[in-house]
Amino acid sequence: MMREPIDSALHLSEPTLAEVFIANRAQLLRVARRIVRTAELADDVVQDAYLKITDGPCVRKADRPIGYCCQVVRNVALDCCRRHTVEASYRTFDVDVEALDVAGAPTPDRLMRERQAIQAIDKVLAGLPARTRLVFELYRLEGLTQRDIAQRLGCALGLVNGLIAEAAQAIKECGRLLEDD
Amino acid sequence: MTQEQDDPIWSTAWQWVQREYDHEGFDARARAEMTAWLLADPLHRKAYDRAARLWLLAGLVPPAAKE
Repeated sequence: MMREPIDSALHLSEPTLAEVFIANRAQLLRVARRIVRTAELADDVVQDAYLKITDGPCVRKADRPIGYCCQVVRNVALDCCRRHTVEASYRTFDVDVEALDVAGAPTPDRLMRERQAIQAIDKVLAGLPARTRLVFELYRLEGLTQRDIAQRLGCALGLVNGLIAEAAQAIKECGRLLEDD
Repeated sequence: MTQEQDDPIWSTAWQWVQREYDHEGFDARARAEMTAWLLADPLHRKAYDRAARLWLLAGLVPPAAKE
């Protein structure tokens, strides 16, 4: 009987990010499917996003776990599209696609470097003025266009553009952490 | 400390990744121009891949905690 409060506390504990991800897999697949061309690619994207969330470069707890899962899936999907588009444009130049960045299983070394890079990015973002950070998050984490952001915040497109450039410039310096692989 | 800030290949690669992400402004002509740049030198492609990876990682940071 004495143990009951502890037990119920355990039951009430928040689900982990991985648990949230799995519980919402169907929704996350739809998020991916809206971005990539085929169901198969969407599957790959969701799998890759899951790995990023479980043994990947997560820096700290997200306030909204499901929102964060969607964010990771969307951005992994966009990156997948980006790679395919680069491949396709190589073909229009009649170039063999072999020198492409392989998305295979990352080495422990690479994972470690990515973790360091994401921590550095997090730190850089934390040091930005609040408005710059907000604009960056709407653009990069929520996937709004610059035009949408200007409209939502009621400011000029040029300002939004400038603030994003400012954030990007700060992040750029973290690139050295990914060197040599 | 590093030459990073002054490395023109890295700067150009980072700029391409930024422009490419901004779908609204990235048309077929920009795409062709970027592809030509990527093909011009294997180092360009290497820098671009690294820049794209950094940009992806920047998209994996959780949003700032709401106060």
